[in-house]
Amino acid sequence: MKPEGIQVHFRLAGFLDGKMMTHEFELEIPEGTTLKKAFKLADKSKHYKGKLIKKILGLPRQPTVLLNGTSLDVPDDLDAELKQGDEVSIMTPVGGG
Amino acid sequence: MGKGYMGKILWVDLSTGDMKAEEIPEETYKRFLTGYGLGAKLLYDRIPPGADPLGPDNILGLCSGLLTGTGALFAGRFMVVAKSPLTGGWGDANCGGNLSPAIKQAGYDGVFFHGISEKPVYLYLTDEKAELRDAGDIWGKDVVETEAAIREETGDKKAKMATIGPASEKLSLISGIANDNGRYAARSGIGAVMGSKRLKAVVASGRKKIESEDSDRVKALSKEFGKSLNRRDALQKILGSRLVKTAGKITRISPMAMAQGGDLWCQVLKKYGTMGVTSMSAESGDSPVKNWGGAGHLDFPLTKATKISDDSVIKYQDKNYGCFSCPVRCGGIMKIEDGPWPLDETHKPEYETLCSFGTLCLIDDLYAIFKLNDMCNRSGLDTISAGAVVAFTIECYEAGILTKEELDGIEPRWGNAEAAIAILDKVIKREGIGDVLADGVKRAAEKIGKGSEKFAIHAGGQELPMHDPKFDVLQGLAYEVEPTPGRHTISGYVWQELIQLDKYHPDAEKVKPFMSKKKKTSPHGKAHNQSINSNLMQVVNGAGVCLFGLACGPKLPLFEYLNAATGWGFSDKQWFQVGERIETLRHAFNVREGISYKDTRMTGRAIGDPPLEKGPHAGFTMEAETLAREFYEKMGWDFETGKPLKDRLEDLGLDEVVKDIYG
Repeated sequence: MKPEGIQVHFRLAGFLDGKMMTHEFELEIPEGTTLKKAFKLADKSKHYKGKLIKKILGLPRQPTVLLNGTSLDVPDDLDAELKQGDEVSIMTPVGGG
Repeated sequence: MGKGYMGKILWVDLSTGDMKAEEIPEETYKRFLTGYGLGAKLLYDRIPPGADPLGPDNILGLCSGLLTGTGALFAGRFMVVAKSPLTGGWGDANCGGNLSPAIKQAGYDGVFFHGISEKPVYLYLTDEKAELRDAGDIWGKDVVETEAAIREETGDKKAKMATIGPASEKLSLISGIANDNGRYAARSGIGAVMGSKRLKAVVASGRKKIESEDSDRVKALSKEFGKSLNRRDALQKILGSRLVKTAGKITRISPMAMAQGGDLWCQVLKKYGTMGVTSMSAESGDSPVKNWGGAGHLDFPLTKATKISDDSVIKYQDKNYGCFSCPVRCGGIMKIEDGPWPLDETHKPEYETLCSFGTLCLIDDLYAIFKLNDMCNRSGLDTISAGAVVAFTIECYEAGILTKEELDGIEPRWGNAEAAIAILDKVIKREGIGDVLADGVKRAAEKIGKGSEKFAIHAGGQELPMHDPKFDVLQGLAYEVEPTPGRHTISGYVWQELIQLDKYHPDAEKVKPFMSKKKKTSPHGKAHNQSINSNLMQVVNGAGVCLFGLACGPKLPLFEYLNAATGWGFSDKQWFQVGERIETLRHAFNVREGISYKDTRMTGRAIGDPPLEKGPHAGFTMEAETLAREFYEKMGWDFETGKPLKDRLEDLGLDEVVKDIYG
């Protein structure tokens, strides 16, 4: 039986491909989905073009990933399972200013 | 043939009007360079301990950098030094623009003022003469009006000038010194020192040649470094993030790293300037939110933050510009034609400004921030401190500590842009509550009392910059232990990683781009790199080099430039010893004033005491004292008294300090 879907709120921000980008959207994913898997699903979704999260996680500096405002260790904490209403923020490395 | 520096300074006694050129021995340059280093040497020797920072015994110095004008890239910053009226200890600030080469082209490495002028004056300095001119007619004008008036009076279209605005004239301890109509050496309250001397402007105009020992080598280094920056740019444009992504993988698995984080940062700077990263700073926890008491994802989420960042801001940029000898050109001139506060020409707000008025006060009205930035730039207020003052006032009002009546009828609330503008106007004019707030949050809280002290976020009296120590504990460490507390332009994990500190010093540990939170926030084992970095930064400031030169692209050939300019042939180790000497002398200035670690600690909320309940830093308290203890030990400074160890001072040849401390 297909698992029931849950809604997760995504916020992406950062400097990629020579410009700043921000995307904020709701994504329906199966219950029990890990962050790692959810990232893949978000990258396949219609909310933006290209595999932005894969790109962010592949950058040479540490990105910021938050789950409900709490910062996570990347990549160690990405096996956490998501719940209905969770908020995920993913940002490219920051610095300076 | 020269050695990069001009060999003399100008001493100006504002009490008598006497001026004289003083030759500086080569040995002094070898030991202290120019910039902060030369300033530290002269001020340590000549300011009597306990001098009133706003009195005649304080000395204000405006210095060029040793590499400025030699052809070295990124070497266009001027350095201001004085005893700080804000912290009571060593004070300095620096700024880009175009003044730094003008000081040297007039024939000097720096201009130093002591005494107090009876009436307002400005210094007009050319390679032929130095003249103190009456500034009675321009006293009271803002920095844009001042520059225009002086240009008209002198008829000198090419002159570069440092000016102060009305806030500095009124001795606001959070005011700075401008050049180029609003670029600021803003910190340490140095604007108030200039105001106290009734010195409205320093105008420099000359044609002296700045010569190096081996100018061909300097040129070759610049060509090579410039090419490498452009080459990386071209690759990035062709390949976009694919290059970065691939390089990222290689960086993590191979010591033969192809790319570094600095490439990304350089792209952000070129496209947007420092404000490019504002949008995500609140949510990530880098910038403080709601006067250091909030959580970005709740109080200032991306939907708000994007209104005051990157593309939202850049669309108002009329043109970009670069400081002297800078290939990055991160500055911008804005034209605001719509909204309630149109501005014909104003500087682009920096990251610090957008956060201090934005994330800190929860204001997402970009027009209002343009206006607040312009008000600070014209009047002379430091935007970091000014934003902190507004946030402090809002929180005091929300908590019932300050009433509408005490605030002259203003009702400041979180996010209320009009009220923030009204408060800032009072501060600039020192009217009513503005008189209490104009000297920064620490002094304001001392006067207001009623528990307001916990809302006054500072280190040693200086308002903290917009990088949360809980996000980057090494920023926090620098806020507490550097001779100028509360400054963000010295260190941080992000910084050490961006510049690849290990490329400058063989003993520096490579900063890993990926690190667990636990390891990143641990107080242990951080002092080694931090002390190396602190000493490096003193060489950078002595050379007049912009930090972004180190953070962009491959390694900036700093020591190679210095050796080519001076011909001294110093080893890297010797350059680091010069840096340590400058750092220790600045620190010794504070020790002589009776300042120790307990006086420069950050106030509780900044370190998470009590810890925040929500957001990226929830539950975390930075172990600031442990970090500081290890840093002091590494630097050879006694933790309780701050006194540098005698052996270390002797190694550095700081005999004057040995005599002061040990007799």
